[in-house]
Amino acid sequence: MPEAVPILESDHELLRRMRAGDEQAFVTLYRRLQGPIYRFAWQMTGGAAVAEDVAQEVFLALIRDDCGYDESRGALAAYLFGIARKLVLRHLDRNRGATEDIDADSTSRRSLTAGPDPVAALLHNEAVDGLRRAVVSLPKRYREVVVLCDLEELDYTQAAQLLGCPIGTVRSRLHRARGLLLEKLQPKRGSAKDGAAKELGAWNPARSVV
Amino acid sequence: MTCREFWAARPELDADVRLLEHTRECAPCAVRLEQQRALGLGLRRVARQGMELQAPAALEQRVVEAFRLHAQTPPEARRTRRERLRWPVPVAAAMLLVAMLVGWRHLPRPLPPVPNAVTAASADLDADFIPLPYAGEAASTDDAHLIRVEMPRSALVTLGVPVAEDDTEEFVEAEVLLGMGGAPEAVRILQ
Repeated sequence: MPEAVPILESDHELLRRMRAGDEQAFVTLYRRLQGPIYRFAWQMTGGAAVAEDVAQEVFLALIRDDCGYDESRGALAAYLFGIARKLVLRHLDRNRGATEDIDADSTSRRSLTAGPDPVAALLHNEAVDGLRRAVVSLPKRYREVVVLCDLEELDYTQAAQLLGCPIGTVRSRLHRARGLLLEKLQPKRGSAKDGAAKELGAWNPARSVV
Repeated sequence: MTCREFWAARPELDADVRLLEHTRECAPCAVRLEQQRALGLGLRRVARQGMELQAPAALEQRVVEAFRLHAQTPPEARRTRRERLRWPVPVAAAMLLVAMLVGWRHLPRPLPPVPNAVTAASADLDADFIPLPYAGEAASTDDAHLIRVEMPRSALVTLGVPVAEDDTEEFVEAEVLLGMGGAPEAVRILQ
């Protein structure tokens, strides 16, 4: 007789068991949700220590009796993401400039590029390290959409729910973020009249106002 | 379709074959779209690498320990502990408010400017006001200010004002004549 396949318990069911003191339910929830939360914090801040702190705070908040989660208002994962996002933004506000300096510092900007045509290199090699650093150097509202939509692969609707903004805003921010990333990855070519700007003609979508 | 219309459709986010017509006619936009596609591929690589990221095992141990501690604490005890943390804040705020009210009650209250009263007080200075022992020359009526205060009788003693020794903790209402620099010159007990 074939062995019965265990049915995957929902987050809500695990949460109910966890609140009744079931440690295994908590461990299952933790293992299910820690990855995306840790990755989100890590990709937003570029720091493993910060990501660990954020993930810890999120799950300690879940343990508390008064964590404030209401099942009727949405998924547990989205709620925990919301806590993680607040913690990350608080960290970024406290450390303002620590990552955005990359944008201003020409030496760091050069380090984002990895050869004569780093954009083309993305197609052929593992030159993604510079891209990861470029993502971390984006202004946080653009960084968020890239992390959620491109790196965590959420759809626009999910990202909009998490960010509390319309889908159109997610799309326009993502469009702008992609343009900024291309700018960061392009090697500096002296003046703005050189290189890509000249090559692409007068219309440069990376500079479009959205 | 113009370049502006083409990019306004966000072709890098949602591929639409109808948009590709423009890239066949416009080389710069075709190049740019290729760059965007390369970027998209690079981001997918970053995403794939990132999927392997997990929080350290030590973190799981810490939060599970926290869960055990929480689960082993009876709900009543947890509530009591929370209440212990919650109560001091409003209690401290209430005590501070009471202290401020009491302090305010005993603060010197400047009277509205009543030149006539000052003049009258000055005129009756010898009769009603008791000059303070360390005060200089009596202020002229032009420079003087009169304030009304409540002060303990004991304070009057320290000011050199003769008062009865009984009930030194009792508060009395008095008027103080301030000199030009704000220094008290004389005091008059009202009650």
